[in-house]
Amino acid sequence: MQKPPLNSSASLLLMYTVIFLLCILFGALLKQIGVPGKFINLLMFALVVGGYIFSGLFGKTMLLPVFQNAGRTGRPFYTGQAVAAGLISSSLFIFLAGDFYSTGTDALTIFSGFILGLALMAVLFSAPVNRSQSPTLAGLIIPNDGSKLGRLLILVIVVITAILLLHVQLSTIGLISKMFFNISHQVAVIITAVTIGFCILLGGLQSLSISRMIAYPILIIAFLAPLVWIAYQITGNPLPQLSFGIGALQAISEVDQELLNAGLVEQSDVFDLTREGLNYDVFNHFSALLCIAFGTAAMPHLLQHMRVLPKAHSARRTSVWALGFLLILITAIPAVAAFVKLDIYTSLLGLQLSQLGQEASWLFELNQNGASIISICGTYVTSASQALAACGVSGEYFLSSKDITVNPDMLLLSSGVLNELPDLMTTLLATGALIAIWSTADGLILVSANTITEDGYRALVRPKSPTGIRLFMSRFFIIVLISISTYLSLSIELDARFAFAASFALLTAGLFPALVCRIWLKQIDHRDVMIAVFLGIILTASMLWLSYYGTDVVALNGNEINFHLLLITDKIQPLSMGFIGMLVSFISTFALTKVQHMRSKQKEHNKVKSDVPA
Amino acid sequence: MIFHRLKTTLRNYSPSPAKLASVISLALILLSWPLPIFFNGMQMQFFGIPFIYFYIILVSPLLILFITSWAVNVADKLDRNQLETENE
Repeated sequence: MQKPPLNSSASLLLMYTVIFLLCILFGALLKQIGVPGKFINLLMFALVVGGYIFSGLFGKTMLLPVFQNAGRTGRPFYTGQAVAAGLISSSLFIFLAGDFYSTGTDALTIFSGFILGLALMAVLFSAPVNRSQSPTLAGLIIPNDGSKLGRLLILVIVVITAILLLHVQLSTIGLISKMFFNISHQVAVIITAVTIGFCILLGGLQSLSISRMIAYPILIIAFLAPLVWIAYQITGNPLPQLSFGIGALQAISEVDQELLNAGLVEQSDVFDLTREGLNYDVFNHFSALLCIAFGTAAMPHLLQHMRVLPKAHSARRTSVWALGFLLILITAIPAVAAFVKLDIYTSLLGLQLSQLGQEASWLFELNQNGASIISICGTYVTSASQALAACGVSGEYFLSSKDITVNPDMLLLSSGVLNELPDLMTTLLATGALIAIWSTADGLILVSANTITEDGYRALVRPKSPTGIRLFMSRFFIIVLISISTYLSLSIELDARFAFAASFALLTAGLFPALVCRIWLKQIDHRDVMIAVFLGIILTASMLWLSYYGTDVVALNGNEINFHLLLITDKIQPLSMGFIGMLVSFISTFALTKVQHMRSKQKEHNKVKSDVPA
Repeated sequence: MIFHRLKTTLRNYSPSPAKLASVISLALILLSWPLPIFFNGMQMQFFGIPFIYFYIILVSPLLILFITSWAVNVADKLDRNQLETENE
């Protein structure tokens, strides 16, 4: 009998990591002999594509149980890596460092939310999902003979949240493809669709587990290698988590203090990671953090990995491993923001505009490549004369911190260039970003396709469909979903941060209460839960729509509605809307249960009364 | 002595699974957000990082990892006990 592919996890992991390291060495060698950087970048791109094709071929199957749960042959350590790689998306890998830089403590909501979310997943959901015989979450919430409308509601929540998150991933591809791999956005999206589609079409969850598992070490090496280098270069301590305080924060605060004393900057311009957030007051901070945590805990594309494990205790351990693996990366992210700020202070601050050409020519080169990373006086300048024109002053003018702005979306990807590391380090960061995007996107498509097959096709259309047909339908829906998301990402412009928030808000308002009530409060009837979830989802979706589009279908044109809570907050942020929706779902569930309880008591009472002879 | 008693208490802790899950979830939420508010006024620095920030980005995640890992062990033990009871 053939050995299940996931039993070879250790050797697969080792093999792909060694190939990756050899490719880095080969890239460094090519650079030494004068091969242009773009060829080395393409080599790394090809390596990532190769990894996905290999995962697809190695995990291919024609059996539905293997396609949907990998034959339950996973191991906690390796599946934990797959879960962590699935969670490390573009929002975390690319944007979070920029959020720390530009929004202060607002970024802590995402930071703490993801950590808390994985911990809650371990405690609340991993074992019950593993024990469930159903291949989808709806099977856990609704019994086999239960409400079909309820199943449909769960299906809609899973698919819509997946498409929103997928939109975030695919729209982010454009940020890196043109700049690092010299590939246009459209071509990059199509290559993404074909590659991840090939992988999950062949092997379903088995191939997904392999591709995510081998992606994790690459993500970590790609993220930490440049950061460790920067930390060591600046502070002599290679641990960025511990060295950025003394190495960067203190130096930045000393410079800021001098600038404040000289009256060159105002208190609001001073860089402080711990400053109060730009958008979140106390209510929004708390509710957004919980929204991200609850959304992460109930995230279907992560929870599907719990079915790969043979036993419930392995599933719990998987979540703990995933949390540990996430911490290795996420705790280093605040350091990126601090090191970039320090570099800007040491390389640009106090320079005369006329000196920019000699002292900071790298800045012009960056902007010439269309990177849009650092702006001087609000313009992405490509020459000293442009800088003079943008600032409207003479060449004698000294640059102050308020003249220099960093594009937060590009902060991490540009950290290598800003700290003057070898080009290969920037290539590594771009490769890591690419893998972060792909390793999230593939799971989102797979979980949606399986949900449509099981909760849509099987439950509503053809209950007795044979396994062969269901496998075919899963593959068919993968192709349909990939085509739809590719089309949407190329034709509709949706703010990536809003799509991210909307996705988490809907998960928190819908899936989290449904799972908690049906797993931990078993006495509650599933119909009450589904009615309550419907109310929560409708409320959240309406608030999200009205706050983004307003009363028309044009986004953010001034017609949008600003929701507020009297005496609590002036503006409810999109993530907080999910929290409010969740409260409505829970309160409605308990209210409906209470009403049902009272009605059944009344019925019993009436029955007893009618049975008593007059 | 106190440490030993705490260790024994934790080792013998055997609540119902639902109670364990709710208590641990609340503790984890507390560690993530409300607790840091109490440290907000502290001027202390660790490794050059203000204590409140140091707590949120390093101490709290490690505490969450530790507590989750402990809770998972207790949940496994409860599962085993339940299985033994059913077998008997």
